[in-house]
Amino acid sequence: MQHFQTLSYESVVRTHTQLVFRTAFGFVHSKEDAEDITQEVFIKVYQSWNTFRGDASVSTWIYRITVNASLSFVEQKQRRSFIEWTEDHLKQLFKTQNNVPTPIELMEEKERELAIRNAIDSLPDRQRIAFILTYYEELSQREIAAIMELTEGAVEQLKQRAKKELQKKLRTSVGNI
Amino acid sequence: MKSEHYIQHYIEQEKAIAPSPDLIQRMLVLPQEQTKTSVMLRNQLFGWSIAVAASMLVGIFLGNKLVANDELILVNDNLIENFTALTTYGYE
Repeated sequence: MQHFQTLSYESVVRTHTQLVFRTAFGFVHSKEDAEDITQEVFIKVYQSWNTFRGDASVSTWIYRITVNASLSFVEQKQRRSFIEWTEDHLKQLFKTQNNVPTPIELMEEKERELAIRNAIDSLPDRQRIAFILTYYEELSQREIAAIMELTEGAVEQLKQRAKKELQKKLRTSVGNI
Repeated sequence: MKSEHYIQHYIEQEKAIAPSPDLIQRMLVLPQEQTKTSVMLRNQLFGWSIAVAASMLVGIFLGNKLVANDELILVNDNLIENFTALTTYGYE
């Protein structure tokens, strides 16, 4: 772990853009939205660069900013009109793919994806954060605990609950566990 | 294990989506531009606040003058009377 004072803003952007994008993607499931969040995160990083005390590692700090920015983005998006929401979901449902054999299979796959996405999105905030950092970022329990400012035991509990919750939600729509 | 498999597959698909190739470049340039813009906006806002405050002061000053000066009120009253006469004349 490099100390933040020896890092330049440019090197931080180069090493962290991908992880910010991927984490944000886990929350919003859209490339455009994830890029918007990435932009927001780096504006914040740039503005707070001089005030960052270095209590945590730069990655932990950036993960925290990303998680908060993603959660508020999702919250704002949920307030959008029903029409926009329906439009997005229909677009997603009918998005064409080249290697899909039949339209029925395509529909089934899209419906399954939607069900998984909705199940992830409907998890309580803390469970969702633990889930995304575990499965999208493949972070260790210790790293997640540092980002969420929790104990490792609490993170483990959140992960287990998230897993159970997802299994429960997807039992009917996706299949038996 | 069916749903776990699907979840894993879904996550792998999402993880495979790469950001736009120019994203890093944008991240390097944008915050500086954003900061410049916000400084510009702050300066503009400050300029406008000064202008509004100045107009309010002028307004208060003129208002006080108007109330204090009977002649001005008379002139003002005459103007209103003339205007009323002119407009009503048009209707008659």
